[in-house]
Amino acid sequence: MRITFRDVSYTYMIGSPFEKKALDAVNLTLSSQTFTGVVGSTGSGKSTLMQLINGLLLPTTGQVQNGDFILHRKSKRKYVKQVRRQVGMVFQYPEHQLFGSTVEEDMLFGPKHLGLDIEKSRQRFPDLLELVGLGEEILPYSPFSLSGGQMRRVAIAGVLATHPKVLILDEPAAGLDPAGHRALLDLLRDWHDQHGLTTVLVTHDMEDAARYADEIVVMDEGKPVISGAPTDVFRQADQLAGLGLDVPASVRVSRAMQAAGWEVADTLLEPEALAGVVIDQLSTVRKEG
Amino acid sequence: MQPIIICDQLFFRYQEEQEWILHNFSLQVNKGDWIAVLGTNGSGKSTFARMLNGLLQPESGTVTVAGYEVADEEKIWNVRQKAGMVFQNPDHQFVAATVQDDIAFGLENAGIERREMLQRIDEVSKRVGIEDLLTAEPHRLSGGQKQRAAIAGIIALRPDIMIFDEVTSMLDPKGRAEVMETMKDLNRAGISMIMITHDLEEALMADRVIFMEKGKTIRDRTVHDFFQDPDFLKTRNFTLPYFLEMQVALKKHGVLLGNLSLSESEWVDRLCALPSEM
Ligand SMILES: Nc1ncnc2c1ncn2[C@@H]1O[C@H](COP(=O)(O)OP(=O)(O)O)[C@@H](O)[C@H]1O
Ligand SMILES: Nc1ncnc2c1ncn2[C@@H]1O[C@H](COP(=O)(O)OP(=O)(O)O)[C@@H](O)[C@H]1O
Ligand SMILES: [Mg+2]
Ligand SMILES: [Mg+2]
Repeated sequence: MRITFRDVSYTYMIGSPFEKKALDAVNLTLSSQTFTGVVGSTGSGKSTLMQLINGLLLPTTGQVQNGDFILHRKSKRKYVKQVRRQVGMVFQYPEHQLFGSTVEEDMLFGPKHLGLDIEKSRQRFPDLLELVGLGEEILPYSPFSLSGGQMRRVAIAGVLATHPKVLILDEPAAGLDPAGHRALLDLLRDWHDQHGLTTVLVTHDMEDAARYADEIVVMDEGKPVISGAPTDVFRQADQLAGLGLDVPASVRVSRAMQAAGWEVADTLLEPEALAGVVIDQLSTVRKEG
Repeated sequence: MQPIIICDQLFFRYQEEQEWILHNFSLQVNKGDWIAVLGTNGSGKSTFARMLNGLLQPESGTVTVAGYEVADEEKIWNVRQKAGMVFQNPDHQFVAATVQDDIAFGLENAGIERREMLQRIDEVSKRVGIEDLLTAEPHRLSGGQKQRAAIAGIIALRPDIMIFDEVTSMLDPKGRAEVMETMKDLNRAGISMIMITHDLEEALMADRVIFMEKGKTIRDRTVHDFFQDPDFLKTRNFTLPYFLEMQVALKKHGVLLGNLSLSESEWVDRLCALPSEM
């Protein structure tokens, strides 16, 4: 599903002393079936942007188009609910949102809330749990008997159980150990590819943005300020540094090599591949010399 | 070198029918050392950290911190003053309405008189770079500022040891860099540090790395030696920092042999100088 923001602003607590304009006239399109990484320093408006996609927040001005649905300030609740049915959202620390007495009850929460067929949803649970690396034997367990990483995966299986067309992931891997981190994002990227979703990943981790996203949007003070393919976005290392952001290590190393006269393309290479470039050029130098 | 932390054969579990969460866990830390604690989720890192200032007590075994037995209830406030702890979530660590009052709160509890208190607030806020934020409400600060404010509240008590439990995992890159700078500064000033982290780049800053699995230390080496065995991390599906991974790949081709360098900038310099050496 294509998502388009047209002149969208969002202001929290309008009219109060704490009034805060979190998004400022945003124009942005997320193409259908792309995996977009959204980066930006804390407070730049990433989470607000995400909540506008599924109608948890409605624009103060402007409109958000989600497939054929258009959300604006006055959208009716029933209409918003139809949008929400298409959009799965994994918040930061989703394990804090588990509250059922069993894993099964928690996984049923989303489908029930959205009015989906409960029996059909239930039949899919074993497959979904297997997908996230857990077994169906945990269905009757209390979620609180699980480890943090397991709880996280249950919460995500619960969101996937609603079969969303759009998947919004707000730092889904924060706090996981490196193995769990990688496994979770690999799984979400695979699910995205297999089901032709439109996915948005909010992350502080530039390595993840580079590895998983097709497109990157950089937010600053309530506006997208840089966007494009990862290679193009990370070419602007100085602007990113000015926004308090890093570039991936591959970019750091290749830029230093370029400055020292190596011929390295501006692509994000895996370390083995960049090592390959070094080996090739050294052997050329040796032959010539 | 006299050890400042001694954990001797600790056994711990949260419930009786549970398996051991710390399983014959022993560790000695020398004064001034910076220890990185790595491990999978659930391996017992936070449980171990909570033993160090008596938030948890072992079922058997002893913990000695700065000369005090942590099991000695009469000395528990001495222990907590000597060993301060910073947690992952910057939002859960404040009690007062302003940063200044928050630092003062800990000092009042420790019975520090007012003039000394003001002097210490001034000193620690400069140390961590929050001197302009003293009258701010904690929840208005950025993540990195919150963590530094939390650190200021602890170092105001002049601890010998600081324990950091995944303190950068919720921060953006700038906040993370700020907190790491503060940590380096504290260690230079002689504070012994236990830093629990999932971030291998952060672990590179430490003197020594321990790796926990199932309540045990399965590896305990100097940072230099720890990273000379990349396969240990790879077989546990931990992705190596990029520049180390690249060194491993180059070594396979016979380029830049010898020990793996743990400094990205130093190594990149060597790499960049290669063609001219040919
Ligand atoms: N519920 C809220 N009430 C008032 N201000 C808010 C609220 N949520 C976020 N803000 C403010 O809006 C801005 C953008 O926040 P957010 O979208 O959460 O940014 P990010 O996710 O990039 O950290 C920040 O200045 C933040 O303080
Ligand atoms: N309050 C608790 N009650 C029961 N079990 C717990 C509690 N806290 C942690 N555990 C269990 O102890 C183990 C170690 O936890 P923890 O020390 O938090 O690990 P780490 O910090 O390495 O991720 C985990 O299996 C966890 O589920
Ligand atoms: Mg956010
Ligand atoms: Mg922990």
